[in-house]
Amino acid sequence: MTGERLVAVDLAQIDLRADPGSLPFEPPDANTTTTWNGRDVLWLGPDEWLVVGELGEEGSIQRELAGVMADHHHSVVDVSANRVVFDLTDGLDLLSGGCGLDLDPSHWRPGICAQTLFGHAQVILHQLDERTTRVFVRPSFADYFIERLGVAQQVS
Amino acid sequence: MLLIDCPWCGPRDEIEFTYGGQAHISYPKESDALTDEEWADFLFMRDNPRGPFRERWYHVHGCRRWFNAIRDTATSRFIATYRMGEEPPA
Amino acid sequence: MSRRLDAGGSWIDRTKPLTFRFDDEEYEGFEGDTLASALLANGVVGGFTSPILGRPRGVMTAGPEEPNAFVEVSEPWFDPIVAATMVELVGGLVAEPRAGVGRLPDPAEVTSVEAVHRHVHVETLVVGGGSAGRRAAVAAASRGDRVIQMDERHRIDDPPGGVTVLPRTTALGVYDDGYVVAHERSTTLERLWHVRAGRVILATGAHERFIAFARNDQPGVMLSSAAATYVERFGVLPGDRAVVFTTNDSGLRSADVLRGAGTDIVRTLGVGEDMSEALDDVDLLLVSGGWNPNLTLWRSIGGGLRYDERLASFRPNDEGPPWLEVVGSANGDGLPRTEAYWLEPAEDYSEHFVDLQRDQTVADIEDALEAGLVSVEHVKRATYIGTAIDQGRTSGLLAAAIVNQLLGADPDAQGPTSARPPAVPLSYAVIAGPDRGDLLDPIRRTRAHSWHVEHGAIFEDVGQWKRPRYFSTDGEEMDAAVGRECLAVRNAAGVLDASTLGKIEVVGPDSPSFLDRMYTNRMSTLKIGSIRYGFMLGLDGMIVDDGVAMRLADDRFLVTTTTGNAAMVLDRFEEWLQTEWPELRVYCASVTEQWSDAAIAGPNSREVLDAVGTDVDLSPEAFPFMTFRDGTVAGIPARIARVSFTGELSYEILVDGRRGLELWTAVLAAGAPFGITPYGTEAMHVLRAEKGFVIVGQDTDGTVTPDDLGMSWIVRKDDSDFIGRRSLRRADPSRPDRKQLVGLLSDDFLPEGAQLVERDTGRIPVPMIGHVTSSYLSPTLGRPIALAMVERGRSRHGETVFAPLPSGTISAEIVPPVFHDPEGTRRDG
Repeated sequence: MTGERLVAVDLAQIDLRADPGSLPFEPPDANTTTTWNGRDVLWLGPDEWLVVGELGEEGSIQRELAGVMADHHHSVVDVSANRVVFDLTDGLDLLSGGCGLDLDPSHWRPGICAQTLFGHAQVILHQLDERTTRVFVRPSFADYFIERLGVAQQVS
Repeated sequence: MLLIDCPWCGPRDEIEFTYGGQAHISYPKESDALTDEEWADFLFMRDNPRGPFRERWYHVHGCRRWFNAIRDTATSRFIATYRMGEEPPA
Repeated sequence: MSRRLDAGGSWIDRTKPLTFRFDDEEYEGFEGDTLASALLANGVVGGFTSPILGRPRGVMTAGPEEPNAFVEVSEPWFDPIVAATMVELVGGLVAEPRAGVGRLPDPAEVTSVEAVHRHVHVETLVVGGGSAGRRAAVAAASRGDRVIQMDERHRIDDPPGGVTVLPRTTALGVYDDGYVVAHERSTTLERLWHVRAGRVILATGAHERFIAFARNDQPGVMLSSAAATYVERFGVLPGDRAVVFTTNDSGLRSADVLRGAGTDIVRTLGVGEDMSEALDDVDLLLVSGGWNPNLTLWRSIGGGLRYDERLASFRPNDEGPPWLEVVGSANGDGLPRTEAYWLEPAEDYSEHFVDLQRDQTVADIEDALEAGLVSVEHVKRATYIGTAIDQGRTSGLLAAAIVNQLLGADPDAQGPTSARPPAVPLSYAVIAGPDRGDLLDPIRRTRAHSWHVEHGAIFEDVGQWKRPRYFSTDGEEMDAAVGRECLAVRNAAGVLDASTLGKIEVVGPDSPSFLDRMYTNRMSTLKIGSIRYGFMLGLDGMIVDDGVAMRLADDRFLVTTTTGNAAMVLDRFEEWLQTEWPELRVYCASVTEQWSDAAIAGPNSREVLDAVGTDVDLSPEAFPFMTFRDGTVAGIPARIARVSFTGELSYEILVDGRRGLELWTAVLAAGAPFGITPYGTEAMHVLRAEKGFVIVGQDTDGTVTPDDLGMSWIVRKDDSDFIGRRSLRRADPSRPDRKQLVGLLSDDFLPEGAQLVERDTGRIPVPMIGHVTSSYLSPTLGRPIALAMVERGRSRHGETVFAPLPSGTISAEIVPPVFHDPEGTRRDG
């Protein structure tokens, strides 16, 4: 209960859509993540991934992808402002107050991600390590997410 | 709260999905060749069996994929789910 | 007069006395007591009243099957109605008897803990804390399952290790695929569990059976095992002199327990013996008619019953879901053989109670049967037997058995009606949990919201969004504010926060032809750098949305949608691409909040944008209407689009979503010398109506085609297909008497929705020929204006129509649906 903590983080986020066979990296299994050139790649769908990098990397990520994907039908869209990101420490208990996924650590392991609902908000959840859950949510739903989550300690 | 087995994500609560009606009804390519009655039939007429029914479902709050299902309309139970474009299981 | 035994009571802690109030009197009990056991310990006999007949009643059971002793608890939490046998005694408890229904308190007068909701997944859920439940929980845990065992009572004896044990937790219902909702309550916590279990095991036990005899509802009548429970668990002697009626060994066992504690068992009666004077010189009548497996939850998910002759009761049959199992006495195991005996024969059944909560007797069942209602389902509805708070735990099976008997049918001819979730009463506050107030529906705000709040914005809800409706300072009334804002846009410059509009990137070599199929006009012929307005139709040919498409490249478009339809349009795009046209090389991505959007409108717009600072050439030759340019505005990378919903010269500025407030404040600051005025959705509605621009969903209602609006120019004339094309080729969309968009000019204000009629048609009832869709006081024209849909509207210009209203009839002249600048000369400034 006392360990729960929510921290807002600023990241580069690129929506990538393509045939999985044309990617410059091995596509992750459904609802899992992988890394590519130091960025996290989250599976969103069979032909959609979220490439997450450091703030400021939007341009270079887009350029790199445009370069390697040039000969294949693909879509690269900067969505860095389309979702805000929170890193939630020791928050699986709180998340299970509004999310129907099996968040027990025996099932919800680091490297797993999921698009799902928290209360009435669409979210993307990414378990970074044993204690940290990264939450992506539309900016206009962020206030609702924070209030609904009810975390005691919050750092913007 | 049904548990629906998305072909991509596995079992998820039914609130992550929306229902899409009867499956395997293709948009007519030559609609001008249809009479108004035939066109209305395509638009509005659907089967309504008691028992196994092939339906479309959309995982709107998850992977956002459309898929098909065979579901028993009398018991609400899902018999099978299969990806869009696949043949329905026997 | 104390009935607490000097020793005994496995659940109570005699070192922890507690005080509580019941019906305005103070009493003492012990930690571990229920409210009922503590009342009995204090010698309270009766203390309750039947809901309809007002007859005196007392505690009859020791569990959730209690039909009499209902209370309202007001401290330390509020519960409008709950059985006293299920209330855990805590210090400071305040309760009073309630008969029948609870009351809604003033929220200010109640102390309540906000309910939290909690989802949890387990391989095995066991409902029931008794020995059968324990065995099942231990077995599941030994297999490596995650196990939860729950029991509604405040204590689970001998809880197993490796299992999450939840006392005070009542399973309310079993739903599809192992979903169980359960309510947990203690003084500090109120929690609604949502359990998803691979297997659910019901170890819910059995209730001792009540039977019908004359005046069987009097205080002092108790189920025999309940009396034994009060002795063994709570150290309470329910009576000094007792009669026992029993059809089975249980009654005898219970009598032994009481005898051992000091009760004088005066008489033991069996089947057929006269019960009429049973309570005459005793203070306790123990009843044991047999045992009924508790199958409320089994039945709630569709589990069926089969009659068991040995038990003279019903057990679960094989027809339940494969993941649900019933064990222990709930399955009929370990219960004593019983004679089938439901009622003591008599001439007059009017005091043979069947459902104590509903005050219904055998005579009431007879009346229903005599009226021809022979199904237990009909008897239930006619008598309400089984529909009260206790949901027929003591009355349901009894009623069905009596119906069978009175009809001369076999005992298994009809079984009891089923109970519905929730298994026990539950307040809406608990069901709602955190979903209340501001959290009931997310409130969505734009990045500039704080500025709007600080500057007097009065907001309206557009879907889940808060959008400024108008800005008011110094108490300015809405009409004045809207008028001021409109005139500012027409004469100087206004700025609108347009960030809520939906935005979708459509990318791929087939995106031009894809958009051609989704819209009525040809997006594929749009030049790079240009913008086109389009209608999206349903397959039925009716307008569902409008928006603009910007062509960013040969294979890339930015499509906008109305605020309320953003999700719908993206979902529709995906549906067609995934289910009908998977061969098209198109990808869509939602970018609604990737951009913030400030729309400047008015004759001074160019000066304002110049003052804000941009590297884009704003001259009309370099930057024509319906084109866009990428550059910077106020030092922020931006896309500027020349679109206009007001008819004035207008620049919509899109920037990175995170810089929306920065852009907004820059525009307001730089635009001040030019009279820049923030305006809201109300002024926007008025300004567009003055120009005759429709709002989908306001002027259209799902039955309107482009031609109905006089906009057939927006529908392509070639043979290429688009969604809705085939339907437009039916005869009906060309019907001459269709409703068509018109303008209305009247002296008095017409309410939106007002129906329109032609007077003096001589027909009754009067046919309605249309209705008002949009109506405003136009500051530009200085009079009311309205848009309406009217039959044959386009051929009626100059005619007068009438709007009959409760306050009187208003007349209006039909005019073309444009009130201001019909030639569109103002849009280039």
